[in-house]
Amino acid sequence: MGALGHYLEREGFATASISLIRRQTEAMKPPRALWVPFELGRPFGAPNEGEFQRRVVRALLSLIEAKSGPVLEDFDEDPPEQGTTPRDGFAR
Amino acid sequence: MFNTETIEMARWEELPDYERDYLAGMKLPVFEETAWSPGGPVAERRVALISTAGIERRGDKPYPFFSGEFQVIPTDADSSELVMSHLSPNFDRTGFQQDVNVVLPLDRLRELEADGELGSVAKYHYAFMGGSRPEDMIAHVPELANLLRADNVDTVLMCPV
Repeated sequence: MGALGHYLEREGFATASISLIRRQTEAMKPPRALWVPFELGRPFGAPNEGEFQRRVVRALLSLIEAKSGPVLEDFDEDPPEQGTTPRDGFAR
Repeated sequence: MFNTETIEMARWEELPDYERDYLAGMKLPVFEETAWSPGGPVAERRVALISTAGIERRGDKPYPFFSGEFQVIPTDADSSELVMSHLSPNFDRTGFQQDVNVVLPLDRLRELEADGELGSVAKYHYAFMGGSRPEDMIAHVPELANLLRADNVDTVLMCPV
């Protein structure tokens, strides 16, 4: 993914990438990246959490306004706790 | 095309052993310089998403194995049409099963566009198969760039899994 960002930037597109492994992003130096403290496979945090996902997307988009780079910022908000388990209300 | 090196990963202590073993063996492209295209106010940008989750529509011709090719996702694709074809024991898939937006936030972009925070959402978005070799994916960048230009896209959000 980081390599794609480099090449699309060369083609004239401004890119901003979610970073799931910060050290990997530090090594690849993509133009703009937002490190998130989320589980691998959940780049926008948590399912069915629209307002939380919106905050992540806003933070990622805000990097497009950076004047110079590379930019690597942290999104330091943990995802919300998820719903209930199938046992809730049963087996007490 | 580029050199590779093995690197140490962050949040090492939070990953299971098998994940650490996998990540420790990954070879990553190294770029001496970072390419840069100027951005600008978000409210004036036209945005497309690119995922490496192997997302495609049910009924699309499946990703050719080891080709580095990408699939095209219309922005108005219903979430029930989309499947994640990327198989790996190294990341969570349950979030996507519940809500496509946790991987490909199409609904969130549309909301920000409707609120005037975002200029516009592209007509098409794109997905590569995760685990593809970078050099294979990069071979398709010229075609991808032409499609993005035809859609007047100036901004791309990269969405790994």
